[in-house]
Amino acid sequence: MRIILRSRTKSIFALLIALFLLSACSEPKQEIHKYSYFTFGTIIQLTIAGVEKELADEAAAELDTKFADMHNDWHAWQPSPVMTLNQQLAKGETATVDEKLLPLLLKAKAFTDISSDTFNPAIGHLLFMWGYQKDEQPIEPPAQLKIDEYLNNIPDLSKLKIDGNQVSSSDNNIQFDLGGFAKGYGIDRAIDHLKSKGITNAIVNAGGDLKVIGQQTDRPWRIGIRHPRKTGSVIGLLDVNDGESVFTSGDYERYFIYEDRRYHHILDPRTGLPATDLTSVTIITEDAALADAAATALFVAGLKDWEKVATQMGINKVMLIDKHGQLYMTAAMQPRMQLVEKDQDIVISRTISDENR
Amino acid sequence: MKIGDKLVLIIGIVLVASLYKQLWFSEGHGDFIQITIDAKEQRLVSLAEDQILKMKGKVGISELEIHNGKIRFKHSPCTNQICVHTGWLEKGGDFAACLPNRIAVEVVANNTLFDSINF
Amino acid sequence: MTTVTLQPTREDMRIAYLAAFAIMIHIFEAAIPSPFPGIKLGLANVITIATLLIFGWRMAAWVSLLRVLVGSLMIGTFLSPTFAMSLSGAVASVLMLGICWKLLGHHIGAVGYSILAAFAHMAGQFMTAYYLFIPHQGLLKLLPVFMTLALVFGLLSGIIASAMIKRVP
Repeated sequence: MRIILRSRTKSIFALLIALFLLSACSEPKQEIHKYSYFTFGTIIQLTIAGVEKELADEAAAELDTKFADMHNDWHAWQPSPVMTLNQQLAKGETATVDEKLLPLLLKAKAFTDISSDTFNPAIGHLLFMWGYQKDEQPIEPPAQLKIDEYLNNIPDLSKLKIDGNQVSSSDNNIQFDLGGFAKGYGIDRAIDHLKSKGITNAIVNAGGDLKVIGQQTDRPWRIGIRHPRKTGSVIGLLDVNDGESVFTSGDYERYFIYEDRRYHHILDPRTGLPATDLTSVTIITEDAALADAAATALFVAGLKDWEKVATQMGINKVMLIDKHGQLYMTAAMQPRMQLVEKDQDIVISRTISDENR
Repeated sequence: MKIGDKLVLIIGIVLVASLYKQLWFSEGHGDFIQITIDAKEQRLVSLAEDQILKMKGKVGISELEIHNGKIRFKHSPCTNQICVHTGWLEKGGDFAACLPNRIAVEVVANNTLFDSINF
Repeated sequence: MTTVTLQPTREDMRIAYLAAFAIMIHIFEAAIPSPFPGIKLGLANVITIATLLIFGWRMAAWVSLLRVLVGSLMIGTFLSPTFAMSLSGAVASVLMLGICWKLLGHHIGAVGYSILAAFAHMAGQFMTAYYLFIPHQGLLKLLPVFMTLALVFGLLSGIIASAMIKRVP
C-alpha cells in the first residue's frame, strides 16, 4: 500500500512539475537597450526594444555618426553648407544647395508659410544678437536700438526662391538658423534609419523631444512630460503610438536672468523678444520636423492665435500651459494626457477638429 | 477566534496597508542612476547611499549630490547651469544633463513610470 | 504475472470525499458571474482549511491540489491560463499552510489559517499573472486591492470553516 501511495504521489508530482514547466515556456522577456550620446548640440537618448543587443549596438553607433554628420551639415555658426548659403544670400548671390540641405529649406519655407510668421527659421541675425547661437547662456539682452533695427528688417522667407537646387532671395536679411526644426527633421531621419535596419520598437529622444516606433515589449511606449515650473517632476504621462512624435517647447529649457528679469530662448520673430503668454506647449503629431516647428510656432502665437496657427499647420493634439499655470488642451489631446494631478481645471478647445490627421 | 487568529488578522491588515503605501503612494523611487560621461564611459551608482560624486567632464568637474534617494547636479563648471536648474531627480526615467561638460544622469528604476521624458 | 490492485485506504476515501465536496463548491462558484474578472470568493478553501485542522496538512494538500486538477478538468479549463492561475494559487497556499502548520500547529485556528492561505493564494496567482501573462507595471497598482479582497474573503471563509469544524464531533 505504502508503495502504491508513494508512486501515486510521485506520478502526480511529476505531472505537476511538467505542467509548471509547460506553463513557464512563455517567451523570454525582451530586453530594452538604452544609449545616450552628446551630439547634434544636445543629448540624444536612444531606447531600443525587441532586438538582440548586437543589432541595437550597431544601430546606435551608426546613429551617433549620422547625428554628428547632420549637425555639421546644418550648423549655421560654424563652417557648413548652411553657413555658405547664408553668406551667399547676404551678398544677393544665387546659391547651389546639395540634396541633403534642399529638403530642409523646402520645409522651412512651407512651415513658415502656414505658421502666420510665428515660425521663422531665417532669423539668424536676431538669434546672434541675443547670443543664442552659442552653447553658453547669454548674459544680457540686446539693446533696444538693435531690436528696433531688426524690426525694420524682419527677414521675409516668402522672398526666398527655390528653383531646383538653385536658391536665391531678394531679401538679404535672410540668415538661416535651422535649429528650430532641424532636430525634428534629424529625429525623422534617425527613425527611418532604425526601420531600415529592421528595428521596429524604439524611442529617439533628442534633448527632450522625441519620436517613437512600435512599443515597449507588450505595452505602448510611455512618456513623461516635464512640469514647466516644478523642477524634477512630471505634469502628465502619455502613451505614444507607433510613429508619433511628442515635442514640447518650454520657456524653462534655456533662459538667463538679467536685472531680475527672466529672458528665455523662444523668440517671437514678430517682436524680436521672448514670447510672453505661455510657459510650455506640447504637441503630438507624426512628422517630427512639423512637430518641432509647430511647438515653437504655437508658443510664439500665444493664447490669442494658437488655435488658428494649429489649424493651419494641421496639428490637432496640443497642450498649453500659460504663465499662471492654467492648462489648455484640444479635444483630441485631452483623452491622451494622463495628468499627475487629476483634478486640474483644463480649458478644452473645440475649435480644432477631433479627427486624427 | 484564537489569539493567534487575531494576530494573523492584525498582521494581515498591516501588510495590506503597507502594500497600498508602497505601490500607490510612492511612485517608483529610483534604485540606481546611470551616469554617462562623454557618451563613452557609463557607470551605475546606487541611490541608497547619500554621497557627493565628483565627475570629471570635458570642461571641468561636475558635482553630483545623492541625498534621500534623490540626485541632482550640485555644481557644474558650465556657464548656462541648465543641469543645476533641473533640480532633484528621483523617479525612474528622470534625467538631467550638462551639455558643455558632457555628463548625463538618468535614474534607472525597476518600477518606472515612463520610458523617456519629454521637455 | 502480478496484479497490482489499487486498494483504496480509508484515508484515500476521505481525501476523495473531501475533494469531491471542494470540487462541487469550486464548480458552483465558477458558475456564479463575478463582479471582477478573476476574483472569486474562494469558498472551496473552506474545505481545505477544515481538512487541515481536522486531518493535518498532508490531507489538506491532497484535497486542495485534487480540487484544482479535477475541477479544471470538469469545467474544461485544464492547462488553460485559468488553470495555471488556479494551480499556482493552490500550490502557494498549500506551501504557506505547510510551513505555518509545522511552525505553529494549533496556536492559530481556522480564521488565521484561512487568511494566510488566501494571502498566499492571491500572491501566487498574482505572480503567475504578472510574469506569464501581463508583465505590466500597471498591474502592480492592483495588488493592494487584490490583497484587501484576499483578506476579507479569507476572513469570511475562515469563519465558515471554524463553524464547520465545531459541528464535526
